[in-house]
Amino acid sequence: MRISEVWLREWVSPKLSTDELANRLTMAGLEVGSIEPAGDLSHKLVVGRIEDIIAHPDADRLRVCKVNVGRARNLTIVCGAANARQGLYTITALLGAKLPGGMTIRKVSVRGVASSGMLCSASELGLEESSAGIMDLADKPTLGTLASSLFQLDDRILDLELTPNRGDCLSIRGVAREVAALTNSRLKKPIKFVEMQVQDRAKLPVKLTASDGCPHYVGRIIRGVDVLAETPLWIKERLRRAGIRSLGPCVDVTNYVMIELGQPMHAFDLECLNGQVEVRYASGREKLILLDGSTIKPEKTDLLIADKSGPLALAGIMGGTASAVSDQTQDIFLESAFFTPEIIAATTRDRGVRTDSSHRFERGVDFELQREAIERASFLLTEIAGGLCGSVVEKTVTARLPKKEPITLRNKRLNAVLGTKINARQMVASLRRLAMQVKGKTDSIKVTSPTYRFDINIEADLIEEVARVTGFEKIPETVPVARLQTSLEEEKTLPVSRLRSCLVDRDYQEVITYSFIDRAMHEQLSPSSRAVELENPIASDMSVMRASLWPGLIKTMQYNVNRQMTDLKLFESGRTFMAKGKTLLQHRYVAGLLTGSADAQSWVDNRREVDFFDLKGDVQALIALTGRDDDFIFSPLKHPVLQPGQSALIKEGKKVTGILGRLHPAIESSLELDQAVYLYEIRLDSLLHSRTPVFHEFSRFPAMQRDIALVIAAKIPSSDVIRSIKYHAGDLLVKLELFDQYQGEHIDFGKKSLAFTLTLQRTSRTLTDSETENLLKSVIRGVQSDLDAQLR
Amino acid sequence: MTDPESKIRQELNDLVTQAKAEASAASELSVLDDVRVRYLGKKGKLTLQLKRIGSLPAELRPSFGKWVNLAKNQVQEQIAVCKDVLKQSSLNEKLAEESIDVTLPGRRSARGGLHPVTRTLQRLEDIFVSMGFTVAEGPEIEDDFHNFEALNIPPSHPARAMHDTFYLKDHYQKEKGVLRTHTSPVQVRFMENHEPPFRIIAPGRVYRCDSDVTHTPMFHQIEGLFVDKNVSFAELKGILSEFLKVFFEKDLKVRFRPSFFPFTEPSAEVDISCVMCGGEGCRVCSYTAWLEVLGCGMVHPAVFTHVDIDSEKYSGFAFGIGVERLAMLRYGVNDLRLFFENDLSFLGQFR
Repeated sequence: MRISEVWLREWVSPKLSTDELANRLTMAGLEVGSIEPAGDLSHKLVVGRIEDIIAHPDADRLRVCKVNVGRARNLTIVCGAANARQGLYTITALLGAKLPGGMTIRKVSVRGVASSGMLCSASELGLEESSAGIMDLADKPTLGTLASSLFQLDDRILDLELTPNRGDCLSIRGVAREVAALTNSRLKKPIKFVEMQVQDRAKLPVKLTASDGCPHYVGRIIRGVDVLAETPLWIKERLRRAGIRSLGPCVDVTNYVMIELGQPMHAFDLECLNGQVEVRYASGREKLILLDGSTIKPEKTDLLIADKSGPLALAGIMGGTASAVSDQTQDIFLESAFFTPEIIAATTRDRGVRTDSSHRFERGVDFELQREAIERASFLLTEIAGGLCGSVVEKTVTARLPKKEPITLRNKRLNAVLGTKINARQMVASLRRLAMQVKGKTDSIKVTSPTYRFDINIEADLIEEVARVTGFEKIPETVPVARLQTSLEEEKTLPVSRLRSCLVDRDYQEVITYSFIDRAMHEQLSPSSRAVELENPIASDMSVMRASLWPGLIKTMQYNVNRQMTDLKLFESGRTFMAKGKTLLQHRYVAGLLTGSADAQSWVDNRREVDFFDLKGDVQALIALTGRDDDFIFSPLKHPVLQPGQSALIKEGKKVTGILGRLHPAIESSLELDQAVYLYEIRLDSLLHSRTPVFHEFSRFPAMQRDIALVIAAKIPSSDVIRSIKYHAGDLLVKLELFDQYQGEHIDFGKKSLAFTLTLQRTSRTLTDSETENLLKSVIRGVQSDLDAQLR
Repeated sequence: MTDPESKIRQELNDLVTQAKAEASAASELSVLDDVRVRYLGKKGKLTLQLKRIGSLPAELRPSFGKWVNLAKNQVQEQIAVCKDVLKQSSLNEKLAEESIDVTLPGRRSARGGLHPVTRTLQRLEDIFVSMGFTVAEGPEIEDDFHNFEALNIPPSHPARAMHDTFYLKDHYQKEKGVLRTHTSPVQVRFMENHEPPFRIIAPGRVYRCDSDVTHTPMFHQIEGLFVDKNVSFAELKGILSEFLKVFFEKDLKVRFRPSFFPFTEPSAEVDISCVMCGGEGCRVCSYTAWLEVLGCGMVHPAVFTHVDIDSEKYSGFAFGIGVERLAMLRYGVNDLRLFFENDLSFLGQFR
């Protein structure tokens, strides 16, 4: 809401500077977003009159004017405007004048005629977006008057960023009421409420069929309006400052009253109305072409203004073209109504049509304002464009009007909620300043709010009002005293931050990518998940909720590889979204991507590319944080996205907790990735509970180490061999390390050799050599029978 | 001088002198060892001297042994000295050989790092946890009830339009899901399942259908909720002022001004004195000297009613903090969109 300070001060004028006033408003919840000057016209722009006008001797379109600017000598000015004529009052730019567009007026010769000034159009003065000719000051102001004082440009525009609860401040009078309350100043009465004399007997019947949507409707016919009359400059200027364009007297007046008093109004062309005006809900089978040219099909929940032939306007939102005031209009029907906020809000939302009018109705317009507004508009319109007023037709369904019930406010409660010591007298005084009616005992009062306040419904609302008038800055700052409570997590709970630190310490860069991704990428990387689609995505490549963190990681990789960052270790943690029948799973995952060189370029070592075991090492490092390494079992995996033979499944018991592997080369190439990409993704929840340590007796006797190399079928996974060795070695085996895998010369085709170091130890004494050898023999025998392994 | 004693002693002295000279001349430990063997070994020149004892006059015999031992000791000492010198110099040589350029870079990789939003979130969590808050979480795809209805935002409320909500296309659990527009639904979920008093924060991703220079369709918030008997607005002011000073590590000016949120009443917007210009006025604060950093208020009684908490018995406050906003102010980031581009040149600056 743009508020002209000069206009505002006609209504209320506290002894505050503009900045102080703005600050007071901001600190009361009516945030002033900016303060701009209303205009910036040089003092060399003055009123002038064309005394004499002759054709330019050497140019068809130009004329030479003698202009009187109230000085002894007339100025000679060459002008190209078609509307320049003798006796025209206009704004003259004197030599040295600076126009808002930046141009400075200098003495120039125009095709041989010296011109010492310029006659200006409204657009050249920054008062209009475009103008047809130079300004025509019909009310003949005193010659030489400064343009800035003529247009009252010594004004500032306060741009108020109003919250949706303060619909009552969407007018000059509304803001003035608030300023009066906040500064304890008197609200002035710059306009008088006059009832127009009824000069015409014409009446149009009004029917409130949908009284829940419109419990109060006021209408009037005005006959013989000159719709081509010029709107006076002062109204145009005030509209301009409110950010509204001038569109002829009927629209300008209704807009003016809306800005002045807060009542949105509409003018219909009477000739286009058939028989009556009815406020009703749409049948659902109608069509309406709105003023903006769009065609809508109103639904049964949309409120219409209609006549006997059909819909005329989307009530409280926008008129229709068919009944709009045009250049041919002679008689009009003015509408000033109260529409129920929820109904208007629902239609603006469902139809997506928003206007200055709907903006006010959905926030709440004073339901007692309609008559005053129509009289004000009638007065202004007949002043400008003439016409004879018909009588006012007013329909009210009181039972459907908003209820104004008294609300109880307890002084004790107020101070408990605010933490203040505001006494009952101060409390009552604050509310009275806001024009609230107060009744009852001092410690518990009954408060009724004015009809323009739609945001005062419960005690808490009144408490806020008292706090606002008092000033939030007057409320003390205290530190709460609360009972001590431990907020510690269980010991076994591993914080996510621990996992992140682990990855960061292993050279990973964390990334945060959007939760919505490209549909094609989803289909490629999560082929088995049905897409969870957005109804209203912000862009087509952000239309599907991610079912995996991989698309985000891969996109980040592409972005950085394109910027010469080719060695990447990336991770992200966050939710994924998967549809499982009619339920939606939102699990938390941690995922990583490895690509490029395994280590930084170095003078000392040779670089190598990352491989599966870099990937697995990182995954195992994460798992190691839980202290439950053995709970997680890796096994070969077939997965459409990963390279067969280089991908693995991680299971915790029977539950799948993650997958890892190299991105399938076919996908790599279709995504135009020129380097191998390794990925993992693990359910966060399974990593977040760790083992709480339990002490067990350990041996203080020397351990025995023995190496064995076993030859087995190449297809047998090493994990099977390890499981078998562990099983057969029993408790004496304290450590088992796989230190070599070999295939090739001396090993039969289809076989491989695995070499292990077994560390054996007894808690009660030193193992003897024979015990050790016997154990080793039984291990070898065991593995032999389990897996057909041979000692190499 | 021809007396036999002098002659013998002279001979021994000569041998000692000769041995010392040879020892001193040795340039390597092995040569020195040869010298030792030549003079002191089993068949060494000095050792063999003892064999002469039979041919000596009887009166010299008792002393002769002593003289020889003395001579051997002298040679031994000299060899020891020479050995030390040689050892030292060979060590020096070895050290010189093994000397390296210590200014060459060590073995390390490029270090990893946290995303600046995570870094900020963790700091925020740490601060509030130190004030006795616990961390709560909730789903990112929400239902209408938790995201709006229970927060006193009915369907036709103008505040809904301010939220620019993303909706899901399909229905799940009979409902059209929404991407949560704020972290406030976590308050509701927590209150549904817990009895007051409680103090929680709920960090996480939120979504609004809006994208321009100052908006990204996804961003992060931290929601705070404090419910107990007699919680007041004055305490809300106290806690948030303290938090802002701790977070920015500065004695900032903090101001609370009335605002509107459907789920709090009274509601306030919180401004701090500009951390960039210190109140002089700059581009970041639009020359107002103030920066809006968070919204807050006393929990609306209607919200308590939705979760069956008696608002006569308990009161509480809630606040919502934009994490990216704080990260930008704290680290001087000048473009919101950088957070989600994930350019390593950007992310690498927050290690």
